[in-house]
Amino acid sequence: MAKWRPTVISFLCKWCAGSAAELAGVSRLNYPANVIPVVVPCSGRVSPRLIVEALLNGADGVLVGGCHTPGDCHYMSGNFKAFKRVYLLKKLLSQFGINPRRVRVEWISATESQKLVRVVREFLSELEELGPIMGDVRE
Amino acid sequence: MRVGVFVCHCGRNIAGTVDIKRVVEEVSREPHVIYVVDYVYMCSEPGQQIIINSIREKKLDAVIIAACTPSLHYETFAKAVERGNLNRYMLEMVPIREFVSWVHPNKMEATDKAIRMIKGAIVKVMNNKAYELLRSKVVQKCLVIGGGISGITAALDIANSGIPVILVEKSPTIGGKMAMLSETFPTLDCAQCILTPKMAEVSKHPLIKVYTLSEVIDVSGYLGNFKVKILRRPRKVDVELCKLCGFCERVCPISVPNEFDRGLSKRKAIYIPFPQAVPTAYVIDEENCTKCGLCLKVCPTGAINLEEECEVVEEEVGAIVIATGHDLYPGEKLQEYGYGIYEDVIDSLQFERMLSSTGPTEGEIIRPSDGEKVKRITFIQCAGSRDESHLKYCSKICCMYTAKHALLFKERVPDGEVTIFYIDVRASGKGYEEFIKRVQEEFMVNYVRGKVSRVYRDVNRDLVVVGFDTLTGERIRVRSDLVVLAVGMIPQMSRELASKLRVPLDEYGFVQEVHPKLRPIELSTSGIFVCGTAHAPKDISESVTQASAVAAKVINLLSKGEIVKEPIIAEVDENLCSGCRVCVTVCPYGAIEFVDGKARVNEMLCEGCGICEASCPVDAIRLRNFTEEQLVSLVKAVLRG
Amino acid sequence: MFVSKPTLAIVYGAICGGCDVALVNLGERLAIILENYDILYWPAAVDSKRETLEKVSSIDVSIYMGTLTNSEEVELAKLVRSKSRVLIAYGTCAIYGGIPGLRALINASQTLKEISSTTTTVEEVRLSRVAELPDLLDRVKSLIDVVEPDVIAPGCPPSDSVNETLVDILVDYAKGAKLEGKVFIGDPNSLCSKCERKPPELSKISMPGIRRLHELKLVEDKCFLEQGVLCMGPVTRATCDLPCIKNNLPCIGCSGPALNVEDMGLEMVSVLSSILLVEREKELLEEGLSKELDKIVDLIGLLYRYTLPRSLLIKLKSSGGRNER
Repeated sequence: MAKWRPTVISFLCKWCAGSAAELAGVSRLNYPANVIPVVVPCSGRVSPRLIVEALLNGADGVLVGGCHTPGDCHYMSGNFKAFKRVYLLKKLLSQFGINPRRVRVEWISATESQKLVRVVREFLSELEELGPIMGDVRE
Repeated sequence: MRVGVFVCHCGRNIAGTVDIKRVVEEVSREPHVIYVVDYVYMCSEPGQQIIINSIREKKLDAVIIAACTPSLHYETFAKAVERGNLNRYMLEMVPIREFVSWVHPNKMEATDKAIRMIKGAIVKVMNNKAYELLRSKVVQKCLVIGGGISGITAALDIANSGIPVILVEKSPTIGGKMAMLSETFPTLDCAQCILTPKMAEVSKHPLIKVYTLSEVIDVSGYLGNFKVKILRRPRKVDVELCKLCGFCERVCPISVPNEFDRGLSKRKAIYIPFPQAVPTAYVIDEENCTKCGLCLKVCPTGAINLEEECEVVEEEVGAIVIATGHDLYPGEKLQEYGYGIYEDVIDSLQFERMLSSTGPTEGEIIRPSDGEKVKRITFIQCAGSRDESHLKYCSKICCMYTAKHALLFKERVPDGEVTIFYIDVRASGKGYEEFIKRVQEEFMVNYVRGKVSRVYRDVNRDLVVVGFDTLTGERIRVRSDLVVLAVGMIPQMSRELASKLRVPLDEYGFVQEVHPKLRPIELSTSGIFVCGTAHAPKDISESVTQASAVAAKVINLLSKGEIVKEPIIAEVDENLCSGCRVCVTVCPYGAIEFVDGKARVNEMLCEGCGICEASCPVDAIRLRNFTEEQLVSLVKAVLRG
Repeated sequence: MFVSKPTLAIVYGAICGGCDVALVNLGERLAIILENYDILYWPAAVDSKRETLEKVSSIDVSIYMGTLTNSEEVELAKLVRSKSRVLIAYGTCAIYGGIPGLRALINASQTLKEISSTTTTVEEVRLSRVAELPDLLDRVKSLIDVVEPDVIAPGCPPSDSVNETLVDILVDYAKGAKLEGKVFIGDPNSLCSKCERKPPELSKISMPGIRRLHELKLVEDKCFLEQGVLCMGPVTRATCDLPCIKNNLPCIGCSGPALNVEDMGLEMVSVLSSILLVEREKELLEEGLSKELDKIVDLIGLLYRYTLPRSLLIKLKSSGGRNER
């Protein structure tokens, strides 16, 4: 049987993290394929519900990629909203018995393609340790 | 819904890693997908023709193009789709090159991921709607708030391009702080000489309407269509009839401190701020005039009307320029330096007036307390600046103007003693460093590095400046006849006006730009721009540069008569909206307002970030073609695989 | 048209008695119901037995109140649904799980372990099999998780206005009116639509921080969120007349979610994140903002007090090992 691999949905803002992902492509950097990108206008567009729907439907982890605080967000402070939402969501997940490390918010600027690849690799190996999300809730 | 999917090989760039055949097979099985085709270079002419023909022949409602990133070829494919008579917003691109084939060498994994991403896009595009570009007519007129050098420069640049300007100035004349200066650094040009021709140009310009003694009291509307209310205070002297004879001034019984000389001289209640004032006419100071009528009796042209009242004028403009400038940090707050306690402690702008040959002392440097000539003078730089207890920031120009003051003083009093207390000397402009060197060496001005702890008057009537010389490590006392405080700049824009304009202010009250490096003159409120010291402390050359930059933005905005915009904006379902105000709190552009308790999006201001939709608890406000439901179904389709 | 009086059954899941009290508080209007209906079953008021429900061939109207916490309550729910022409889910417990719904966080065996480990009896507790006790459900449920009702009346307990509407529906039905599809009683928008604390000029909400109720003097005419007080108003359905708000207390969400609120807790997380300290984000940065957010002590208690069994994250727990909702 094939070894289980975690599935990650990543919401990347088009101005920063998404551009970094594009640059990673242009630079032919290699990274694991079990991270699926969804490009959004701003990390502030990502609602807690969207993140949970991903976890509910097969994602073992969710990555939100936005512009660096305090001043890089193209829409001023959407990234701060993303930060607060993920922060509260992680606390909520803990209370539900779901490991909060399954949701991450990272600031990745348009040129930081290397950082994106590193973050993706780190996140996936962390999730491999944590196991599938169903394991969190099995009693 | 009839969806067509076009998979590009991009030569070997995609086909080398992704199994195109399997992609086509799997995607064909998706519900609503009625046509799938692959081609070696989709963006080429034949490739585009395939798309166009397919749309027509298969009557497609929506198109997915799995190829490179939209940043590259979105326009190409959007235009192709339009040539097939399909709305471009029914197109979704899936970047399986940059995000898949170029980064995942394993064929099976890459193909799997490509298929997932395409399935997600299919589900999303099915809920897309067709939209047309948004167009809005703009009023081809600009409002400039503030008639200092920045406002004047912006007004002239804009008016010279053919766009009418309304210039609103609070005081009775335009000219601002620059009119009060004697010479400007580093060239020592006479300030009035370079300013007054510009003031005259403004007054004569057919496309500039100047409202002095006026203030903006209300602003409504938005980019391209602002409605402003301007309060015009009564001058009580007819500008056309006044011939500047000055008889009225002679007979006026009321004498008050002259604000143009910053209290160093007096003026009458009927006065002209300075001889080159624009408009060139006298003005009655409403507050202090007793309406005795003596001036009426002597005016040869009957220009005076004591009964003139305020009026409110309404104007419509397409853009607004903020050039409200600065004021000086009140010296009274620096008690330890004795300002307001000792007459002979003055601030830099008062010293500027003293230096001026048309100032209160006709260019003589004398002690205000007794009129005695000044031999020993001390300048205190950073008076209340770079200080946690006063102004945290540096006001940029004080080092330069203090050096200038020292030079000009030494020119008039060659045997005078000049001491300057400083923390740093900041001279970063063109020719500035050389200027400072010249002052220090040629004019033998004594620069002491250290802070002043206090200034007091001793029994000999000398002012004693107690400071610390950090380079010798000694406490020093300098005896002076006159002490000049180089106080910092504070913004003049009131929080009230800022909130009416809906412009953000930073923690110090300066107008907050969108981005300090890339968009330093634009504000998050579209259609409003800022230049000069209203934005941050700066000198005249920077103010003028910024004003011209603002003018370019305004001309660009208004010259075509209309603004055209992408229609991917937010809109509100009024049935669901409860008026909870969360969306309006997060909108970076102030694009949401409330009508009858329900949120409404201003189409011209919305930039399509979607933060509002993520915030709305009932999903009443939605980003077109990027709604929550679309994203949720996309994520589910991608995870389903 | 009914030949004889239509029958009415009022059945319970796990209840506190508050919904019974709400019905009794109808006062004279209760008498109107009694005039129009034959009470077949109502343990609080009528001496009837479970057998009655099982033997009767059909029931005209059933009102179900309470949470489903054990197998018997589930059976009862299915029973009344199958026999009733009209089934009314009455009270937040029936619709969303309510307060007993908070037990959705732990399963049956953990629950029993908790009970036995915290008991203070001298003797060792052993569950007796002398009486046949129904099985505890592994996850508590709301009525709606199991059957589909025809009328939904939210509130903990339902407010006067909801009750008024319910009485009207019952009386009309008894007189022969047909029910048009599913009825969800009450204003579907959130509390904010009716709240008088909204300022006349609707503009940004400035939430100055997180304040517990005892940390400040509550201002009577100012929006709670603008005082830093956590109010569930933006996500809660406005089926009540805002008695809590009018008595200077913030909303705790007892009417359940407003229309189109997918998950009360997640939407409220977004609301709070959107308005908290927005003017000081760049000053406080992540560290300062986290510190303030840490002041919210019990997120589930705040956000899911009444709706936990219907939350999205509980569905994740409920699938426990299988990837299905």
